[in-house]
Amino acid sequence: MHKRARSWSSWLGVAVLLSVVAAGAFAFASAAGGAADVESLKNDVSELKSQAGVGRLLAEQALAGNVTDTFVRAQSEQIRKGAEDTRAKLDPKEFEQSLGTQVLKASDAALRLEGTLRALREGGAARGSAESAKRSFEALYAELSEMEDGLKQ
Amino acid sequence: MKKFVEIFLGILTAMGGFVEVGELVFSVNAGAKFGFHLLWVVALGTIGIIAFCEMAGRVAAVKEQPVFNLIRERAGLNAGLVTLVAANLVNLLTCTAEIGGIALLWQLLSGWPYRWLALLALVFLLAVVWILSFQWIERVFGLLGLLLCVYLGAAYYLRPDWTQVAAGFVPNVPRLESSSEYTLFAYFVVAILSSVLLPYEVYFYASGAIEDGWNPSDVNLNRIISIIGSVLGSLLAVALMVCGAQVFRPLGVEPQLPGEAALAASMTFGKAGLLAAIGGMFFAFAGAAIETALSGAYNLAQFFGWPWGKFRPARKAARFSLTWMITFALSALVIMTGVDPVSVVEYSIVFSVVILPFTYFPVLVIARDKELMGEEHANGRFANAVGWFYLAVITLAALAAVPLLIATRGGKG
Repeated sequence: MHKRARSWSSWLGVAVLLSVVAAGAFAFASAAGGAADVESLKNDVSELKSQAGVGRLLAEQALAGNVTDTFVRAQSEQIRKGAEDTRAKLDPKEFEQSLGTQVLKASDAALRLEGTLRALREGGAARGSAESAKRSFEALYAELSEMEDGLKQ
Repeated sequence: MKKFVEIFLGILTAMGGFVEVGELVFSVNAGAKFGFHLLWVVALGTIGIIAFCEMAGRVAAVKEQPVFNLIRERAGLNAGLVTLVAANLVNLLTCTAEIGGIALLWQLLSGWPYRWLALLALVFLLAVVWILSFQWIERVFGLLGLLLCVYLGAAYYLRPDWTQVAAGFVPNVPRLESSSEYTLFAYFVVAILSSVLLPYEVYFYASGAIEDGWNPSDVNLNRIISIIGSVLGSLLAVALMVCGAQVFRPLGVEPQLPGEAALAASMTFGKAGLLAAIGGMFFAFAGAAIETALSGAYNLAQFFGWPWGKFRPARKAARFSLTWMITFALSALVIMTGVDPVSVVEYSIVFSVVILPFTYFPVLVIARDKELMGEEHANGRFANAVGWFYLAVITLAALAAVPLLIATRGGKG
């Protein structure tokens, strides 16, 4: 039984190692292949759209009185950091040349999203601040959805 | 009564496995991305974790042997050493993510800076594990983690189509738009299966059984505890997925943060729901951090034959105690560099799959050995069939995990 267990462990170890090495080689070859493609841009835009959507939900919950003021401020800051990370990936030099305009548009939307999240962080659960943030998030969400649909085609 | 409270070992084990920060975000995200189509994976994983926790607990009760003793004995020193290194790396990554998760939650309540809160979380965890006995850790974190039951209520009040929910438990693949989405679906299948079958759950559960002083008379108790704990954890994972499908899917949102998942509870139960969700998450994340740090120490001590256990005074198990302290400290240090805890745990979940077969095979081999366990306590035909089936499933998952992680660009599609 010990022998069988050891031989099985060795075979499985080799198989797993091979799959990791093959996957690593594939990843390395893809990375060396050049600039990020339309699929990467679509993922980044989709992330931004999701952040705008969750920002809108947060503003709605603040308006409904379902969340605390500290929660609104801290959560909007946590989402803002995510949006900042996504914007950092949107460098036109990193993408295929043909995508340059779309990358800049996405980056601009990310910047506005960060601004809205910053404003929500400053205003907290106050009604005026939450209402204005909600409107901005809705507009950004619509814009980013359109951008994402365009990239899918 | 004394036996009854040991149920919290099962609950804490399951909480730390099913609703730690990565699984929590993963479950809500899975619901947001694929609706109810991944519920069957939770059910599949739950039966597997019940089977292997039950076997590991039974071996611990009958032979008083924890999992890493078996791995070294059965898989040999080299394979055992590789499993040890990989398992402890996964423990470290998961503990890192949990400390980050605790800091994010505390920030939602206090608004204080994230890095300071990570440091405070380190001090809190060190103090808790130093001061509390193993039994009180089980009770406090197992019991208070049940605040997460707010998601069961939320899932009910969100009025999902129960026929569709039930259909989600039948293995299925939804109609998707592109081949990359099918690959992403496969990635989620492997990741959810892995997050339910996380290997540290078994290390912790079996070592916990020895900490609790189980003996052959506890074999039936072990069965009940492993079933109740895992079913409860899986119900919470299902509720989170339902919340993801009902709240976030229609909005086109893919939650990435614990606070975003908490919004599903605030939508249904207002501020009380929000606070219950954050409180439950805190105890579940802290429980998982303790589980992973102690698992790392158990693994190392059991592999090298050091004295171990929380039941021993720290000076009599000095290397064991130092290991869990170092695990906490290293994890907090990593988090204080500003690493995103949710990304960390995504990688730890995928790498867990790779070591699953190495962990579960020795457990199965010894649990079915009639010479070692005796006729009365060795696996029956049914347990053997279930064990071999799951071993085949996790072996396939182990081979597919890393390629899928890369093909989906880290689960992004």
